[in-house]
Amino acid sequence: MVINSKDLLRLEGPSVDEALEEREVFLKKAIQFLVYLLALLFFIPILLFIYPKEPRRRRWIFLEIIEEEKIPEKGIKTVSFSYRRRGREVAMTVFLRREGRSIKALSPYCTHLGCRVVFRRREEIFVCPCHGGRYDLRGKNIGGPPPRPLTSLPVKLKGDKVLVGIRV
Amino acid sequence: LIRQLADYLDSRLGYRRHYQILFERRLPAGINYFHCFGGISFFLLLLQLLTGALLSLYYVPSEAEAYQSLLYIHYQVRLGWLVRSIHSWTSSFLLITLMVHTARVFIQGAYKNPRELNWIIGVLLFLATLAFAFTGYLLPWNQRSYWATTVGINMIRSLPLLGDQLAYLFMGAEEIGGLTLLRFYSLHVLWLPIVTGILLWLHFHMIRQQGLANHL
Repeated sequence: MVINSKDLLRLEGPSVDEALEEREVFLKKAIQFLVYLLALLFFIPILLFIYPKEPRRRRWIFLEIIEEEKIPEKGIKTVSFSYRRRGREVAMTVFLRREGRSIKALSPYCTHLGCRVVFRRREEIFVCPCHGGRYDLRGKNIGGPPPRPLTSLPVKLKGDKVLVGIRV
Repeated sequence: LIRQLADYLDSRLGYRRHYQILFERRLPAGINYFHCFGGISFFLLLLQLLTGALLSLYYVPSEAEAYQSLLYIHYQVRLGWLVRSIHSWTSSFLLITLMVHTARVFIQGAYKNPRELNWIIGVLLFLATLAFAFTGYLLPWNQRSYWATTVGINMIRSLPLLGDQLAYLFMGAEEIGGLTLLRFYSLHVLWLPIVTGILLWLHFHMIRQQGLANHL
């Protein structure tokens, strides 16, 4: 059967609805309704996506990790401990150092890509094993790829205990 | 009241006629499911338009922040992972459905006179889609996209005569960097959609003008 294009677009004569039976019209309307409903449902995830989200507030928790007298007058005290974060046990290390009367704490995470740095006692530097980033005693970046000094963590003293703040 | 509003809109826009042409058209005999792939491709393209528009709300096309914004979309934005995954998966599906569509037209001989111009437009549309895929691949700005683009640029460079100049044109600098990213971003979200829109309009207009091919 050959149909020319004029026939395809023919709009005179009975419309599609008139040519159908009543039940078929109902079925067609029902399907149309469902399709429109589905299209409306599409807007819910879209609204969810475009509605801006407040950044999750990370709060500081302070953990007692060591007695004050155990920190040496010179050099670095490495303290390992663990804490619970969202139901999981997390192992953490901080580097403590006296500076005058106060105590400073450094995070162990390299500012380049977040590997854990180690302290080399003899050379008195922190070295990152991943790409050879180096930091001095105060955490200042002195060599390799790190863009920033090691992050300082807040320290509080309570009696003779040292408390170090960690963001969770 | 709704009826009156619809009548008014129809009197001004004539949308009912277009609705009938689109959705209540009489189709010739001998149509099968392979005829759907052009329409599926168009639907996927609309999906790309929608998800791409959504992603552009959060994406930052800069050297330092592109990957960061991608991580933000994927892990922080509600349903961000879903929208981004739909966008990247659909780009692959779109190429597949386009190939099936092209194969159907070719096998059926539907490209023959008087539809040869529409075939050419279709080929241009396919190339535009490939360009979409190529430029979009750089935008995550991770290792894979960086090196994939390096390979692509080197392929352009190996063209005879104008290879070096073309590569320079696409990179916007001596090597792939922030300017290349910006260039690809602009192509991906501005230039290519405009070109594709015009080509698609021509494509569909010619289908309406010439009707469906019914050769077999």
